[in-house]
Amino acid sequence: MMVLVPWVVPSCDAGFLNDIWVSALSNDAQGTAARWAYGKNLSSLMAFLGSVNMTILDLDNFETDFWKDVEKRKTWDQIIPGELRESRPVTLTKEVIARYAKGVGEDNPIYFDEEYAKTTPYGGIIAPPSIHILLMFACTTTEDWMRSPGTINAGQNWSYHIPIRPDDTITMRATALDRFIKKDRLFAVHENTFTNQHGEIVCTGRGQTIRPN
Amino acid sequence: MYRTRPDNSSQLKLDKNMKQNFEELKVGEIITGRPFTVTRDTIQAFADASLDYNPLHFDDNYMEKSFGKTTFDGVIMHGMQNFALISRTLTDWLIPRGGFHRRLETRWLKPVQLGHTITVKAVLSGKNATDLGLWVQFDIEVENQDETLVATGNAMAEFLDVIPGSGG
Repeated sequence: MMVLVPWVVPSCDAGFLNDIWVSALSNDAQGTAARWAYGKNLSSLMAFLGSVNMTILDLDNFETDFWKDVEKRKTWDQIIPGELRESRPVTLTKEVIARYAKGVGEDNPIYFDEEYAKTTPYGGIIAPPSIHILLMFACTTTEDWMRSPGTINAGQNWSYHIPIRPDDTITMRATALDRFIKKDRLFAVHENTFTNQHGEIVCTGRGQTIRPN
Repeated sequence: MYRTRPDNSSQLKLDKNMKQNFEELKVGEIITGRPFTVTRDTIQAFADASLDYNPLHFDDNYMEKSFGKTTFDGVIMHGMQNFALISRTLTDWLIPRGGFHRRLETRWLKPVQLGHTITVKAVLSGKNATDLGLWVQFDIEVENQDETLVATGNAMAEFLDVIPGSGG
């Protein structure tokens, strides 16, 4: 049986601790994690949460101030092509999928209505393919340069392999693939590969952003 | 012309196989999405859905500065809202036909501002049978209320009997 444990983690140096997350843990794990938390041994706690690989995204407690940690983010000059960006897995509940879908303007019942979705070739609720838009921010830290104020999107290429479904835990592998200057503008190219809890690739993509200068 | 709308019929089981569906598709068919008007509410809803809270989309004072060679006339819509609307236009047309959205490539040409109304148009531009698949391509244009092109793109869909990951 799964229980929901709200964790409120104070700000510290590690990027992920600046967001507040809700984690799903077994009763045993809850007890263990609670003892660690009581001892304020946050690094052990976070290592433990990482090891159980089940962090349910809590949309309501996301850090919405993109100026926070701005000085810790890489600027165009500091971006190294090929370098991995820090990321962590998140679990997408049916509620998170529905909220994403509604917020971006989707109204197809295949994203909301399990009974309906079962009658389709998809066999159940799926996430809209574009949910990688959310994952880009959900899986990264407040120190990720994609949050830098003034980041301007120039274009995107995405390939879809397997629909994301409720309770999938998605891992993001993110790199800065390339950087260049064109017509006096500073560009960075990012590349992402998303996998599910079975290790299957669900979607991949890359995009170009103009970096703030 | 087909205006996309989600299929609310209770049954979506396809009575034809994918090869028949694929063969009936006509190159040149135009799919027009539902017009979308940008307001502060749609921007807030998109940010709350996508977690993209860049001040480009919220902060009027911030938008008065110059961004290198670029200046804006006020806050702008998220570029990825455009991406999501293109994606919606395609999936609302594809899903009832058994098509699986496989790829979307976009280029943003002009910022979309508050009060602008954008409309996605996808043209079925090609069909190809590969060794293992039945593929459709789309050319995509997004125009604003002045018929100015704000984005272009290309997409692909596959017509297959079993959606990957659905367990067969």
